[in-house]
Amino acid sequence: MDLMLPAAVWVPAALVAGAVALGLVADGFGRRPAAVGIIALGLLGAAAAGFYYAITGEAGVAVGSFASGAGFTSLPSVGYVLAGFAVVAGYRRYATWDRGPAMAGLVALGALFAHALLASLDIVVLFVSLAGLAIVGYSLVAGAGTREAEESAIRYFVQGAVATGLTVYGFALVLGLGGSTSYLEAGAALGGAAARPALVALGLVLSVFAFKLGAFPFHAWVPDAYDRADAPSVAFLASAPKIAGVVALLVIVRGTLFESGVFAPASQLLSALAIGSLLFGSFGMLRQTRVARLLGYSAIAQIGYALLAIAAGDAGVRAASILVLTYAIGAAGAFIALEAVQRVRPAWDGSLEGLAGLSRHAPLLSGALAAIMLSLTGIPLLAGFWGKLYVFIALVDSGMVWLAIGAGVAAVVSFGGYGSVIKAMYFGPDNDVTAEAMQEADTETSPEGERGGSPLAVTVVLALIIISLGAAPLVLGLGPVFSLFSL
Amino acid sequence: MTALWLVVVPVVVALVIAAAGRRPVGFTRWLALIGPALATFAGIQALLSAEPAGHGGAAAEATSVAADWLSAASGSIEIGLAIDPLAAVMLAVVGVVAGMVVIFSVGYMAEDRSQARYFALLSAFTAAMSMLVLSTSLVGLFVAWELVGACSYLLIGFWFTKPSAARAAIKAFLVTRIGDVGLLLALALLWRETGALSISGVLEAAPALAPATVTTVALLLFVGAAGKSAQFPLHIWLPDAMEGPTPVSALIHAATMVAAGVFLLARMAPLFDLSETARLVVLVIGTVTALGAATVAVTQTDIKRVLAYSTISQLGFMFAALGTGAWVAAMFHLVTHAAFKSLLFLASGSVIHGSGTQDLREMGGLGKAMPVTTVTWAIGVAALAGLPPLAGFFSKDAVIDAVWMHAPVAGVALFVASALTALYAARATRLAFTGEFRGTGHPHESPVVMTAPLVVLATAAVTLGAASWWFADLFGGHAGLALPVAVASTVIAVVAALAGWRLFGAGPAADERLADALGGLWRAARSAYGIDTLAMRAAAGIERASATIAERFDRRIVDGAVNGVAWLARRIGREFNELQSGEGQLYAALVGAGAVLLVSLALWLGR
Repeated sequence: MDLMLPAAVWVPAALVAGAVALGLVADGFGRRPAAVGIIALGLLGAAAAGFYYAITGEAGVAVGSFASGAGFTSLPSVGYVLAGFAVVAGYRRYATWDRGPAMAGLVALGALFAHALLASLDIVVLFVSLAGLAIVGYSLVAGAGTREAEESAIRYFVQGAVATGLTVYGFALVLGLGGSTSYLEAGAALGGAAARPALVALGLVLSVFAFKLGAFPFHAWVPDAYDRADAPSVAFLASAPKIAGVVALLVIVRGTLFESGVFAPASQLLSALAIGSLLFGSFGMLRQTRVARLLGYSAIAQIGYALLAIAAGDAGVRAASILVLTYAIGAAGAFIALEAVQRVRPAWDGSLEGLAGLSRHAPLLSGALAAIMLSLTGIPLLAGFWGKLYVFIALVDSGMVWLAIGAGVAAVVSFGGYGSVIKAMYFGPDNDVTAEAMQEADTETSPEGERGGSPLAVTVVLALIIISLGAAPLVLGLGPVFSLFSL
Repeated sequence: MTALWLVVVPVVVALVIAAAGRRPVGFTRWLALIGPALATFAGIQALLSAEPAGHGGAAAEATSVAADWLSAASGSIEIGLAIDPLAAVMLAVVGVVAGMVVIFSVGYMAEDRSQARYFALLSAFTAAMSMLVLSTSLVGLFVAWELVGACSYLLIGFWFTKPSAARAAIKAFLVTRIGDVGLLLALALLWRETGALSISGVLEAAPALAPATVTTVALLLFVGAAGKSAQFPLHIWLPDAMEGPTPVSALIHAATMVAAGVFLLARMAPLFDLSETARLVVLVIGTVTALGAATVAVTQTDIKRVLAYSTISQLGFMFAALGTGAWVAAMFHLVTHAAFKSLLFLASGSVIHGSGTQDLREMGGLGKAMPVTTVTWAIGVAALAGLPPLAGFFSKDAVIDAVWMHAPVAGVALFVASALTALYAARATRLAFTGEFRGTGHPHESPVVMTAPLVVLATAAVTLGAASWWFADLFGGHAGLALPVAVASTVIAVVAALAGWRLFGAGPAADERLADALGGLWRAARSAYGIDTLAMRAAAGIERASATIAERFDRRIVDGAVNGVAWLARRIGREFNELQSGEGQLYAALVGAGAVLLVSLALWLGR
């Protein structure tokens, strides 16, 4: 492998790594708030640098083991932004808990690994970044510190260990058949390799990505982890790694490693995973009583759309990246909003019922969360609509009409899930027990009332981004978006 | 394809036996015979149809299964299996001995609760050993080399609840690992220098290499062989390996696996022909081992340890022959030794089974109680001592002749070693089978299922000498007897055997008299010259030193990190304990099942 690094890769990475190192030193001196602040600043700075390179730099450059330019730099920067927002939203937790600064650091390192995964052109980089992200994932879930969270982390870890085994076998096969760690060289050699071992490699590598992304039937950890970990950490876990995973899979399947004719079944395999995820996720959402679990099933379903886009072939490349971009912003926003709900109602137990009547106490928060939910559903004029629209177009273009219809059905079903959140906030009975308890708590212990603090601010910012991303294309067209995020 | 079946079938059998578990083992243990039977059949058939080929270099095309693996710009590694005459000889040896051992074990292990594990491992070992001898590339050979090592480890530690067995297993594993590193380095060097790892490719490319490279490669190969074949100073694991069930000792630690080193060097003989230095090292180590181990064998009181040192000594004979380039003689001695040494081990198993002890001082007078065992044992020791016309006579003659012609000093040493061989053979026989029974309990003959294999192997030990001509025919080299050496070694063997017979007529008291007479010399030999203790002390010293360094490093530099990890580990441990719902395993299984499903789907779609 080639160790050369383009500036668009190493500058943001160095900013993040430096901020983490500085933050941990500050933590060592007992300055937790400073530590968390430094890490958040580092992430936002890295994002700024990344966008600068993405806008000014050349598109689609491959240097050494990394790709950079346009989407390969801007999408990781979105990851840095969302990670930074997660740290800001979780500021109070991270700055008060003992392990808080370390968790903020983990979020930042996770964003860094996500960048490496997304931009990777080499199996070694891919393996290291997958493993790094996995460790960050386990640690963040465990970091919530409750018994349930620890149990979930261990379950996640055990499944992850199996997945790591699959990774090793899969990459060993790719390496053995391809004779190189570089995607391009190995991909060229794989085209001429024996079909059966090559297909085994494909199946194993797809399994690994399906696990990482939480696609059916590798989904079991998702709702569990999302429900048990603390909301700011999940806001990160549900966003940056998903963008990175989807793009990395795109690069591997549609361009490099598994591009040759031998791997024609890839589309069908991805469709199978996608349909399973869509149906399982969408219908699963309907049964949930806890908001975080509901969002976990939503994540499974959304990954289904992304996989469908990848399965659609070259037409789906753009669709997959736009879809996962808008989903990630929405998912991060949703979990940060849950953190804000926790501020407004400290005794909230995470249930859907507990949201009842929220619109009357926190209209701004409720509005933002509703917008986010509608975007996740794919309602026009919100960001999520464009992602879904392009997936449907790609499916129809490549003649996969039945899959498009199936995805449409799943989208309609999913509204039942997303709608239940909105329904609880706006139409729920205000005389709910939890709400009463909340009101008492509000009036007795903090008469000023919690207004939501930094999580609320971040939620509102994200909701505004979603709205403007949804509406702006009507005025400006999608040109700027495509040029910035194209792969 | 035949060659592939020889590996696949025993593996399947092993899985079946293991999966069927404890209850039907009365039936499934007989399945373990399938692998050895196939190997025997294939080996003998290949030998009968073989063309006289000299050194085949493992390149029989007709029966090879080969595939490219890890193809890169610099070449590709071929892995394949093929039956050439050299492999066929080993295959027949493995098949016959393994078959006899399986039959014997049905009686010997009848009371054991873990029989399924035992017979599954025997079958797995057969597969691994077959792969080792059939491999056309050093990569395949290395993989099989490690697999037989793993089987050996698992079988030495078969009774793992016994601390000494567990310790012996770990020791065998670690010591042979030293040799394996040498072998691996040899492979790496060959790959770099020749770009090939198929045996024929390497042997073709070898003459073009720099002499220093050839010597280095040869010596590294020898390090690997010495580890596996228990040559000085890596022999220390073999005596301890006797903690395993006795039939295992017969199969793995006498006849087949420990002979793999000899086989490897015979396979690579053309490479050794190119390096005088490497051959000299092999000759010296082989001779030293042959002589040293023979002296130790005279002094041991545990019947299995006598045989273990005897095995080390006989392997030393083979390496001495290899050191003079006489690989045909070495292979011939390997074959006869496999017959009579597995016979002796199985007979000792029968003795242990019948008398309830493995201490020679507590035996005695077993001749009357165990007639079949006694007669077959007598044939075994006579072959070991090299008495004509038994098999050992012919092969040992060939070995000593080759060494004598090449290096008279080593020849003399081997003469002394064979005198000692006759001596300890007579001693063990005298102590165990004649005189009065000195132990407790009632010794009895073993059941037919145990004595029948003894008879079969004894027949082989008597008749295999005739194979000498046929061996020469097949591989080249000169046939028949070198008369002066034959006469000299016969005289020496007979005299030493008679002396031993008279000397040890007194039973264990003779040991004490000898100990008094020889003083320090006897004590030194009795403790195997303290090499084991020394090695263990050195290992402990290194461990202590590194522990001290690590401790300081730990305390001063990474304390925080390490404590953190320890905390995490404890935490994880606690979580695992409390995860009783089984959901974790279920989800993990789901991930695995999903992958299987996806891979199957991929194969089905791409068919």
